[in-house]
Amino acid sequence: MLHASVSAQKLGVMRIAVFALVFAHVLSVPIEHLSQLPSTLHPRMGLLHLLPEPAWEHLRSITGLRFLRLAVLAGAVLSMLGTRGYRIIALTTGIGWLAFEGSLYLGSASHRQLATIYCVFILAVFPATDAVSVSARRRSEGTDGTPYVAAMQLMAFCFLFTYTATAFYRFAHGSPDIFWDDTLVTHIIGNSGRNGSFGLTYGAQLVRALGPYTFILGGLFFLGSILEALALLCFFSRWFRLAYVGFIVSFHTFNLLTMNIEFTLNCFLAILLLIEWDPWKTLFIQTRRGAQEGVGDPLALASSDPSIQTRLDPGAEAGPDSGCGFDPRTSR
Amino acid sequence: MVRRAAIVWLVVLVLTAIGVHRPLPDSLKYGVELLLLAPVLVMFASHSEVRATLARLSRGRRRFALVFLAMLVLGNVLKQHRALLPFMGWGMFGRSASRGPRMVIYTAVRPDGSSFRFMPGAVVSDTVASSIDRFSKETVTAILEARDPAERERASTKLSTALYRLARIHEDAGGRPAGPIERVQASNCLARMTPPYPWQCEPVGDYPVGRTR
Repeated sequence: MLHASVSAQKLGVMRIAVFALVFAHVLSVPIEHLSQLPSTLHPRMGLLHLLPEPAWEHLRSITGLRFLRLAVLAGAVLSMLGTRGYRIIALTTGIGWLAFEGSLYLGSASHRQLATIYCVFILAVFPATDAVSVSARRRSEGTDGTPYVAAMQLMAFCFLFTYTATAFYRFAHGSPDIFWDDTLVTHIIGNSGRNGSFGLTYGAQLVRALGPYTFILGGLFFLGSILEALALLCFFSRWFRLAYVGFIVSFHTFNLLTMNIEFTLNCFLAILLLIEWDPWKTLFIQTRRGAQEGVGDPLALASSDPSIQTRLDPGAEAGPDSGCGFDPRTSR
Repeated sequence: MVRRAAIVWLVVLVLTAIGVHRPLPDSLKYGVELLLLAPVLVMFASHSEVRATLARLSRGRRRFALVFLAMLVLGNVLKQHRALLPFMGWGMFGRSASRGPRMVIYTAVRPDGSSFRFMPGAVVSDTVASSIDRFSKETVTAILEARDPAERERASTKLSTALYRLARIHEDAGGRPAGPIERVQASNCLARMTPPYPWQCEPVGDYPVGRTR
């Protein structure tokens, strides 16, 4: 199963990566300019209704939006570092980022950053600072890394659910017409003229080049939707999830080039959540075998998993001197 | 249980893919959507590793995980985008749209008479583009189609005010091409759905947006 074994280090690196994405995104959006828009174009949405009206009015002033942006940037940096009070800081950053995104929606919600927002809230609640943080401490719960596994699996589920749910909506409400009439061509032509940031017109060019063969796009739309419907299969098949990363990255690249629809953060999330990387294992475990102890210790975690041992240390059966001889414990 | 759920799911997916449910009214199609979603959730909830992981979590984190998942699913089922953000319905490109697309296209005119296509979505973030496009279509529709002249006037003022503010943001944000904007011309454009898919535009209005307007 996906993320059946997760170390504290892996979740720590995930925390840094996700908050780095938040930081980069917020840094690139000068949201304070939106204070100039009339209030009718700038309504509250969702959980932002919990804010009293005067607080919302203050928040959408130039000072309020500037403060919000700086607060989210600062919160993202502190969360990356994993300082003391991480949980409060990360939760506040999550709420701040939600307010930030809610301010950008101008009354018409976008799905673009939602998967990353879910990850921020999950990382805030689970013990993501047990390692790779300035306030690293041993975990306080359980003895088998369950919170790390649960955090990664919950994030992966939420991320994949966004694809599955989209496909289910499509099959329930529009299938099969949307695949075989001109729906996708209409969206491509319409979005090629979109008043967005990118101004790419490759979609219209592609449709024109295809001429009478635009049904190919319909076929791709159908196949893409089937793959989206199967997203949660990533939990159970290693090869499927590797293929799925390729699908997600190429799918969003195609959408950007042909329809000016950008989901960059999702591409990063696909790599982070669906490829079973582990920085600690990658760096050290190849040279380590037979660790005996250490609750929450990735060395112990890896050594207790024969598949990891065999995969990463093919010379393990050869004798105690196989490998390059580096031992992170004895070399401290 | 898992096998039964998988079979139900696969059958419903195949039936929807070939369109057996097509004659159903819209409201019942939400039920079909649930029929696709429920087996997947049952399969997950019945999986031994998932149950074991949840059981080993502390009570607080287990509750958080379950409430979070419930909100995710409920948000998707209820589709109350404005009320439940960030737990929204996921439904992009799910409706047939073979009629030609429509777009309000803006042309900014500088004091020296030169012009460029003004992209309101590009002034702050691409995320605002969809909202501004929706706003533009609503106001332009009112300007072109409202029978009541007062309503038409209100829509025109609304569009003019928004364009004035967007032009200010464009200048303040150092938008490219740089330089002051004197007027913004709005055109209502429809694409013909036959190759080469040309946009056919009709002018809606010419709005002064200079700082001294």
